[in-house]
Amino acid sequence: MSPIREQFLTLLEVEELIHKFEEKYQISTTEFLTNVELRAKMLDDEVFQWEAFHAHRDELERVSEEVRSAYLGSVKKCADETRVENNNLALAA
Amino acid sequence: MAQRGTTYGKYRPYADSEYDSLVIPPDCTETLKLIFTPVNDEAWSSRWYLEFTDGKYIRAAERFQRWPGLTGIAKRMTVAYHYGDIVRRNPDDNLPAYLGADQVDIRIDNGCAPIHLHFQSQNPHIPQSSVVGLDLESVDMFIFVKGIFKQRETKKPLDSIFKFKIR
Repeated sequence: MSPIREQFLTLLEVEELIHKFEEKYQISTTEFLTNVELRAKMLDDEVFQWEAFHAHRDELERVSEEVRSAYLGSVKKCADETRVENNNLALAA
Repeated sequence: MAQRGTTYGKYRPYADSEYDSLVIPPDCTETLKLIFTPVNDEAWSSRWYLEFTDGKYIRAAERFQRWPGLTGIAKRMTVAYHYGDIVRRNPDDNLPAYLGADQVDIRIDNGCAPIHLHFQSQNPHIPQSSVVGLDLESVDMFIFVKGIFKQRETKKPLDSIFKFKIR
């Protein structure tokens, strides 16, 4: 077993971590990402973590959308006789 | 280790191997043990803090992200390898905290510009074009940490350890 630690964050956990930074600095993540002067005054590691959590959230959302699109794509490919069932599956997605 | 393109599946065994072979000096403590936060094979970040009893510290932070336009390959998007005096601590986690004007022994980062070097002082930011003998992109956290350990052990200058000259 590796002594290196590994943490897996859910979308909810990442959003909570981002929210903590937004609360601490009283600005939105968008402002943080675009305000170069503000970032220059922040602790280096906090800039790193905030950016990393933002990228983490983006990637989780991208993957989620990819899975959802692939699923919906597979639903559309089914034969006509399963249309009603597919509509229900698409609604569920 | 393939900083120009890799995956978590390839990078992680490399990190395990390098970490296992690392001999941490007696005057050094990992105040934040190396931790990886992966999203998937194409996106992850890591943080690592090591402190010395003489008031200096190392911080290594990396973030890899899906390479734009390429599938299945990650690129190191953010890097910060820092060695210098502990000037202050973050009250939230008590780890050494760095602000842009603080003292630096050596630092490699791409925070506000393409990857560059700080050497013995915060300014100037030394671009790769002025660093001879060392490809900054080829330096990873283990190369950096081992270099610092070696410098502290041998007392040789850092530019000699990392084999670079500034022009």
